[in-house]
Amino acid sequence: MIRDSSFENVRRQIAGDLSPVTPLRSGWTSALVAIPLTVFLLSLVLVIFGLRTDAPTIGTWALWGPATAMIAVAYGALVLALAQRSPETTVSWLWWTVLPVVAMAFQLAGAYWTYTNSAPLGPVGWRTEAMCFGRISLLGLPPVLAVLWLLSKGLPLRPRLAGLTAGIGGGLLSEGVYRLHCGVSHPTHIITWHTGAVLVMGIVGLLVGLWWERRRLDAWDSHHGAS
Amino acid sequence: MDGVSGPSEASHSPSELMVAYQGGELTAFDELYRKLAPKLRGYLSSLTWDPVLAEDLLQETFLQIHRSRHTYLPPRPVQPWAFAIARHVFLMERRQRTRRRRLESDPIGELPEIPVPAVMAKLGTKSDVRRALAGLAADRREAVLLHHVWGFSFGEIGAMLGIREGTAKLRAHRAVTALRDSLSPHATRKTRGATDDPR
Repeated sequence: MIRDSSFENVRRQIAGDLSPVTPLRSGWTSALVAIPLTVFLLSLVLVIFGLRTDAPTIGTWALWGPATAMIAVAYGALVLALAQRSPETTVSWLWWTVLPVVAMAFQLAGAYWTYTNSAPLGPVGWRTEAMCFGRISLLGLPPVLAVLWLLSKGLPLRPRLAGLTAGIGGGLLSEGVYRLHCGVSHPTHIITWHTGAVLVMGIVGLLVGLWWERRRLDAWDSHHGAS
Repeated sequence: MDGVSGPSEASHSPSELMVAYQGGELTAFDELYRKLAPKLRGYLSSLTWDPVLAEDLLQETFLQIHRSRHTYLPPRPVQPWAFAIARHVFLMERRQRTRRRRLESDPIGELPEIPVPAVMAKLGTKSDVRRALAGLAADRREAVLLHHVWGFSFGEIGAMLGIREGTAKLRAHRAVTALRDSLSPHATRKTRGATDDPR
């Protein structure tokens, strides 16, 4: 029998709330949410915008290959984000270095692959280019919010980092799918407008994480404020 | 009798107990508390250097463990998960203090009753070692205690603190070296081969 006032206090407080709980799924499993999210985004892009007009010229592989690769990278980012739901899991700085490098490499390689297979394109106005930025950001919001909601079910100890990763993951997913419509494959366009939108999604996630961290601290303050 | 009797009747692993606790068994919590509380108390003492505060944080840690029991993923080891929550509770308390600017610095008062790492036990009395530990930088002290007292691997420490395995190893190694130097300058040469264990 334990004789411990701390123990008695804690036991008294938890005794009334012992409903069974289901353990969270691992990051790998939880990140499979990328599948329904991809289907959702794909439906939106294909129904609202359609495939890029030069899709037959580019060919199946150069059209779907880079998009699929980006979705795979997005899945990796979502694994990193959702693994942080369990408090003992933190993303090491190695992964923080690897993720942007891999994402950029895939983006550039994919852009180059499509670019070399597509017909030469005339000058494109900044409005057209900026449209990609707006649409990727807008399409990225549902996946980012969905992943942030999943994150909120756990106890990530670094909410800002978790939010940032979730934002980048959702942004990459949106970017990967939107590539199927975007007719500008020049790497400069991809790096500027597409990557820019992904970064904005990362900032959205970061801000939500920051808000979450502050709210957590406020809650702590209100519980322990008198001490 | 609370809940299913299984976990309390025989010695179960923390992982099994945690699964039973997630299933709603209060007896599993009792057993888990018995297994984890001394280690968590020592860890929190090593972080706060204030036994009274450590006791408060221990209660808060178990309440947080209860609220977050669904975040434990079986069959992973329970201890790194519980220690991560204890560290989170400590950091929340420290942030609250910083936010309110009550304490600009934490003066080291009474030295807490934390276990002395075996690797340094021969270098001096327990109180000498505790004083030497108090003189270490907080990050090095935490790394050396997590490894040498509570037996975490450097990989686990890295995951817990959000640093690389090599950094955790380096911190612990530097802490051991600093402790040796401060406790027994003459012992450094004699015991280097036997106790140098940054793994």
